[in-house]
Amino acid sequence: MPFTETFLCTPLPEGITGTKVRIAVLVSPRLGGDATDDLDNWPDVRDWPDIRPTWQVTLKQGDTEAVLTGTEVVPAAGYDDATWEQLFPHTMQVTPYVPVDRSEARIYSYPVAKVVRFVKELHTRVLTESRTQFPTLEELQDDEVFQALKAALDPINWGELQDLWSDGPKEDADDPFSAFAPLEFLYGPRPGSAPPPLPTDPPVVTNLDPVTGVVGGRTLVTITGENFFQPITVTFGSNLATEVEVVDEQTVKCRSPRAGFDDVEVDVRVTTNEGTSPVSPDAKFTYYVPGPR
Amino acid sequence: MPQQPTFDVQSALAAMADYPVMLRRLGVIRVIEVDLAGSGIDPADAGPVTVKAKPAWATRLPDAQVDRPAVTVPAYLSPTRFSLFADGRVDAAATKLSVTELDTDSAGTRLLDLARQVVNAERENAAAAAKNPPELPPVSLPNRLSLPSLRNAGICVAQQSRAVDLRERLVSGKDLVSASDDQAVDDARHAVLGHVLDVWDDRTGRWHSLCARRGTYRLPGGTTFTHDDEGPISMAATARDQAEPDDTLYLHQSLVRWTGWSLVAPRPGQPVVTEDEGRVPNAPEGPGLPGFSVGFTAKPGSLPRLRFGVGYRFQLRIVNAAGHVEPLQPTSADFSRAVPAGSAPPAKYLRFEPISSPVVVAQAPMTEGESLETLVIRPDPWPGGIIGSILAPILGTGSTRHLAPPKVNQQLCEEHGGFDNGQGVPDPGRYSLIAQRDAADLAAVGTADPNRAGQRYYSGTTLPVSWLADPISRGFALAGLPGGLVKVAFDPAAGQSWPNVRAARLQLIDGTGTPQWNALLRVLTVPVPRGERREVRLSSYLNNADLALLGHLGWLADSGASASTIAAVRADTAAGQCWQITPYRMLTLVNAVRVPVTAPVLDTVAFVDADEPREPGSHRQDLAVAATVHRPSTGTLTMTATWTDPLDDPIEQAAGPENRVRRAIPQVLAAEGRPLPELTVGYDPDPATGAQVRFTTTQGFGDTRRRVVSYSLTGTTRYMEYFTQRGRVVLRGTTPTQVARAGIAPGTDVVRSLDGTLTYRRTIDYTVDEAQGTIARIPSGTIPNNATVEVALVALPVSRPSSGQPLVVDLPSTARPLPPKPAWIVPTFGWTESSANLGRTRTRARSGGGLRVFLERGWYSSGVGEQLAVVLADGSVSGDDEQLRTIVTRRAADPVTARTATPTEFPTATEFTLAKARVAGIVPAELPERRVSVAAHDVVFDTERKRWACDIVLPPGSQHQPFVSLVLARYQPNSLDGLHLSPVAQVEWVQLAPDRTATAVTELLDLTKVTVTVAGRSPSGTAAAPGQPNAMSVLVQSASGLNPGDLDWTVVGPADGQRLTAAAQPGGTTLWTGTLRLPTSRLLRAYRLVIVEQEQHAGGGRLVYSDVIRL
Repeated sequence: MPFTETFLCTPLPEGITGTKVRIAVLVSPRLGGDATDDLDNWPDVRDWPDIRPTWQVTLKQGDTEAVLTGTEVVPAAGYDDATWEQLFPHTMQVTPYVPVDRSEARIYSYPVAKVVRFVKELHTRVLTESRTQFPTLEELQDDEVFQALKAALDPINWGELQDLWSDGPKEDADDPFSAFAPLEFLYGPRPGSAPPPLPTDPPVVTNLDPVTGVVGGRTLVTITGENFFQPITVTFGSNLATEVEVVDEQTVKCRSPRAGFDDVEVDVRVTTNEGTSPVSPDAKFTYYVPGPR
Repeated sequence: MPQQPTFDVQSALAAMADYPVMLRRLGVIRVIEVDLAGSGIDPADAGPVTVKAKPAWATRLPDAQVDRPAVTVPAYLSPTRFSLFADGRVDAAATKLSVTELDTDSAGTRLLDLARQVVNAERENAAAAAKNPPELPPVSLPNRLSLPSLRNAGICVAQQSRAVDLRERLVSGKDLVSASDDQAVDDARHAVLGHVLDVWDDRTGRWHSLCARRGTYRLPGGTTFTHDDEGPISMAATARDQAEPDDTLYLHQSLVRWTGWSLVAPRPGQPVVTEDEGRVPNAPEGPGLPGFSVGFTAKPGSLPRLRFGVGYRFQLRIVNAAGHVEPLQPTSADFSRAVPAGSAPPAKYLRFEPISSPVVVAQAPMTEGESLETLVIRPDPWPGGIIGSILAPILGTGSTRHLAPPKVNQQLCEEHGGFDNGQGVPDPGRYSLIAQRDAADLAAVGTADPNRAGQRYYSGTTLPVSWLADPISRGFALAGLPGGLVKVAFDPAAGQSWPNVRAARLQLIDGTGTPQWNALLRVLTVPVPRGERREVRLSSYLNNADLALLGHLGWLADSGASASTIAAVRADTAAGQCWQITPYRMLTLVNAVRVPVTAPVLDTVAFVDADEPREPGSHRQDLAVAATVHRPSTGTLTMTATWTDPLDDPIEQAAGPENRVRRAIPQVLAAEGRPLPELTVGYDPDPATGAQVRFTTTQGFGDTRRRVVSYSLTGTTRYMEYFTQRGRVVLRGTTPTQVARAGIAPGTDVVRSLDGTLTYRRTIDYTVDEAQGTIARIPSGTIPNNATVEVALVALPVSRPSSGQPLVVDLPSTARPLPPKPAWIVPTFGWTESSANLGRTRTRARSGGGLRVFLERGWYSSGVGEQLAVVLADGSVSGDDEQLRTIVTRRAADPVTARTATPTEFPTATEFTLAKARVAGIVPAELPERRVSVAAHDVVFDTERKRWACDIVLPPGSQHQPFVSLVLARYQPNSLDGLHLSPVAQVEWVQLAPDRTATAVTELLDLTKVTVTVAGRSPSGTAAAPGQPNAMSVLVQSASGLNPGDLDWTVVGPADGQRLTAAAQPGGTTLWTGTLRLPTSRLLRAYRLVIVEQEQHAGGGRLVYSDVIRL
C-alpha cells in the first residue's frame, strides 16, 4: 500500500455576526502506509501550516441546502510553521494510523449514585438504631443492604454481571446487589482481605504421564485430574513426590520419589485440604530397574 | 520513572486537543467565515441546521492518495447564535447527573470489606464443620461490628447509566474512525471535546468556573506565551491494561470531583513525598515533544471556596472540538440545567469525616500494667510489712493523662473555614501558622518514656496544642461513669481563638463521688473506689452549631425520620455519643488492690440435684456452690476441699487403720470447655444474684466412697498484673536466691536474660520455691552460672481466704460396700455382780445371747462410717420364700432339748440390743427387688488380733439356747439410695447362751451355812432325762492362800458337788435352790462356790452355765 493521507475535517460552528457565520474546522490528519517511516513520505502533513486550502461549506436548513465558499481567517502572522517544523521534523518517524473501533467494547462501570444511596440507607439505619453501640452481627445479617454486600462478594453471583456487560450496558438497576457487585468486580478485595478458596471436592487423578519410571526416582510426571488446589501433596505409594508444581486445577507436575523397598506398581494419590484422591487403575505408576548402559 | 510515551505527528496532535490555542496557532484548527446572505439559509428561522466544510488544495502526494473526508455536523442557527447546541450547557436532568460529597469508592469498597470479613469467617467455619469429623469453628466473629468510617473527598458530579451513553456514542461514531469519504453524524456530541464545570455557591450567590486557567506555553524555538482559557475536562473511559486494549473499557460514573481547587491546574506547593523518589508525581508536561512544554495555574480570583455547610450547584458547559466554550454568566439565576436543579435546594457540602477521639498523652512514665489508655493507682502498694528485697518497689503514684483535641490535616481545617478572614477568604497572614502547625509531630511530644518503648510523656501541667486541632472537637466527653456524662471543653484562653485551644487533664484518684473539674489547674479528677475499675468511653463532643455541618445528620433529615428521632440523634451527636460521627476510645480507670477488698463468704455448698446427689458408681462429685464476694476486686475464686480418709489396707497400714487428712482443689465447671482450677469472677453484679457468685464444681476422688468434706474458698485479686515487680538477680550455682520474702504468687515468675531475648523455663532452667520466695538455678538448664538475670514476679499476698467456718458436706457413697469376711465368731457374756446385807448376800448375773464376730481387714470399702449389718427379714416371710431365707438371719430352737416355746424364725431389728441403727426397706444386692431390714453395728479394731470385731447381742428371751444363723453385710448409712448394703456373708449356726442369776446368802450367826439360788430358763427335758430340767450342782472350794490364782483352790466336800433342787416358776423360769455346809467357819478360811449347770444327755452332761461366787 502506498503512503496515503486522510484529513478528516470536522466543522464546529463558532458564532454569527449579522449574516456572517464562522466555522472552526478541526483537521485531523491520518497517515496511512505499510510501516513506520519518515514524515517526509507524507508531504501534505509535513507542510500543513503552509497549505491554504479553498473551503467549500455546505449548510442545510430544513430542505434548503446552500453550498458556499468559505474564507479562511488566517492570523495576521500566519500559522506558526517554524514551530510545526521543530515539533514535526521531516525525519520524524511516523507509525501509520490504525483505526480503533471500540463500539463493541465491554464497558465496566458501577453505579455511583446507587452505591451512595445504599451506603446512605445503611448508615442512616444504623445511626437511628445503633448509634451508641455498634450494631449486632444479627442486625447486620438481617439488613437488606448488608445481605446484598455479602451476595456481591460471591463470584457465583457475578454471572448476570458478565451477561450485562457482554450484551452491552444497561440503565443502572435499582437494587443493592446491582450496585455493589460491579464495585466488587472492579476493585476486588484490598490486600490482605482476599477470601479463602472455595471449598471443593477431593481431588481425582485421571491420568499419569509417563506411567513408568526408574526406581531411583526423579522422573518428571504430569498428573491430570480435577480439583488440584494448594496446599497439595502427591504420594507414590507411601513416598512423597518432590518438586510438586500446580499448573492449574487439572494439572500437577512433580518428580517421582525414590521407590520404596518392594515397590513395583504403586498408587499415585493427590491430597489437598479437601481430601485425598481415591485409588484408581488410572493412577498406577510402575518402577523399573534401568538396564545396563 | 515511567517511560514517556513517544509521539508522532498524529498522536501529538490528538494529545494537543486540550490546548486549542496551540492547534489554532499551528493551523490544525482553521477558522472559516461564510456569508449567508442570499444563500437561502435564514438565521431568523431559528433552529437546527447541518454544516460541512470541505477543503481543496493541490496536494503534494498524488491526489488519489489523499482523502479529505468532511463531516456533516448538526448545529443550531439563530440570528444571535451559531453553535453546536441551542444551549451551551449540559442538561443535568436529562443527562442524569447527580452530586455526592462522599468518597464513594472508599465507602463502597470498605463496606464490601466488612461483609468480606463476615463471609470469609462463615466460609471457613462452614468448611471446618463440613469436615469429617467436624472441626470447631476456626474463626469467631465479634458480636457487634462497626461500620467503616466515611470519608470526604470534595464534591463529585456523577452521571448515572453513563456506560449506556458512552456505548451509544461509540456506536454512532464508529464510521468516523476509519472514514475516507464524507460522513454525516446525527449527534452533535461527536464534535464535543469536553466540558467545563461551574459551581454556584449560596454564600456568594455567583457562578464560578473551575476550569479557568492561565497556560504558559513554551515552544521549541524558545518562544513563550501565556493564554487564558477554560480547559476542558475530558471524559474518557480507560482501558485497564495493554492486554485488553480495545474490547474492555473501565468507566467511572464520576465525571469530576471538586476538592476545593481548580480542576485543570495543580494546587500550589509540592506534593508530599511518601514513597520512593521515583513515584513522586511530576508537574504535568507537554505531550512529550522535544522542546514543548506547558504549565497551568488557576486563573487568579476565579476559584470559589469549598466550605462545610455551604450549598453548591454545578453546571457543565460544553467545549467543542475546537476548544470553544460559551462564556460563563456569573450572576445567572437560571438553574434549569444545573444539578441540583432550581427546583431543589443546593447541595450542602457536609462533613462525613469522623471527629476522632481526643489525643491522650501521659503525664508521667508508665507504671507496671499501665498503658496510655489504662490508668492505674495503687492506694496500698505494700500491705503487711512486705519487703521487696532486691526487686524494685511498687510506688503508689497517681495517674494522670493530658487530653487534647485530635490533629487533622490542613484541608479539613480549611474546609471548616478555619483560615478564613471576616470575608470568608483565606487569610494569607496565617500561612506560617498553618505550615508550622501542620508539620507538628504528635509522636514527638514530650519525653521518651524510659519504661515503655515508643511511649512518651509530657510532665508539664498543660500540654500545648501545637498542631492543627479538629475545629469542631469542642472538648472531651467521658461516658460510663456512675454520675453520667462528663464534658470538659478544649476552650481557648480568654481573648484567643482556634487553633489556640487548650488541652485538659484527667486524673484518677482513690475515693468515691462524682468527678470534679478544677478550672484553674484544668484538671478533671475522677474518683474510683478502692478495688474498682471503670471502663469509660472517651470521645470528642460538638457544639450544637456544628451539627448543621454533619453529613450523617443531613442524611437522617433526608430519610424522613421523625422529629423525635432526629432530636434524639442530634442530642447524642452533640454529646459525642454517636460512634459513627465521634468514634470513641475506651479508657480504663483502675484502683488496684493487692488482695480483694473483702474476704469471700462461702454461702452454700449443695448437691446439684438434691434427689440424685451423685451418679451411681461415679468417682466424681459435682456440687453447686454459692459465695458472696466483692466482685470488683475479686478476680478468681479457688475452692479448697479438706477431708479425712480412713485407711485400712492390711499391707499399707500393717499396725492398724489410719486416718489421713486430704486436701484438694475442686475444679470449676464453666458453661463449656474444660474444668478449671479457679473460677473467673465477673466484674459486674449478676442480674439475678448480685454480689453472689454461683458456680458448679467437680471433684474427682478416684473411688466411690463416702466422704465428709469441709469446703472453703480463697479469693484472689483481680489486679495482680499491676503488682508485678522487677529486678536483677545473680544466680550462683544452685543456691536459692530470695527475691520476695513474703512468698511468690503462684505462676507469676518470669525469668529472662538481661537483653530480654531469652525467657527461661521454669523447672527446666530454674526452680521456684513459692513459699520461701526463692529462685534457684538448675545446672542442666541454659542459665549460665553467676549470670545476672531479670526477674519479674508478684509477691504475696494476693488473696484472702473465706471468712467463717468451712462448710461440711457429707458425700454419699456411690457403690455398695464389699461383702464382709467374717473370720470367726465367739459367744460373749455379760457379767454383773452385786452384794447386799453387808456382803452376806452376793448375786452374780450372766446375760447370754452375745456373739462377737471377728472380721478380716480391709474395712471402709464404702468410706467413712461403714458398719456391720445383721441382715433381717423386713416384715413377715411366707413359708416357701426360700430365696429370701438365704439372705436373712434366721433362728431356731435346739432340737436336742424339749421346750415349752418355739422361737420365731426371723428375729427383728429391735431384738439386737447393741445395734446403732435399725433400718428397714434396704435393697439387698442379691435380690434387688426385695427389701430387708438391718441392725447396723459399729466395728472396732482389735489391735491384738489385727482384726475388726463386732459385738452382737440377741437376748434369748423366753428361749433356751436357740440357734441363730447370722447373715452379715457391710452397711454404709450414707449411700445413694439402694446402695447401702454389701452382698451378704453367711456365718455358721451358733447357739446363744441363756441368762442366769446366781445368789449366795450366808447366815449372820451360823458361819458354815450357805443358801444358793440360781434362776433362769431351762429346757423341760432331754432324751436322756425326759421331763427334767438341767442339773445344777455347786462345788465348794477353799484356798490355802499359798498360791496365787485358781491353782490355790481345792474342792472341799463331794467332788461332783451338791445338786440343787429345781422348781418351775410361774413365769416359765426355773429356780434351782439348795443349802450348803462349809467344813469350817467361813471366817477361818476363804471359800468360794463353783456353780455348774449341765444338760443331761446319754453320753454325759453338756455344760451350759458355770460361775463362781466368792464368799
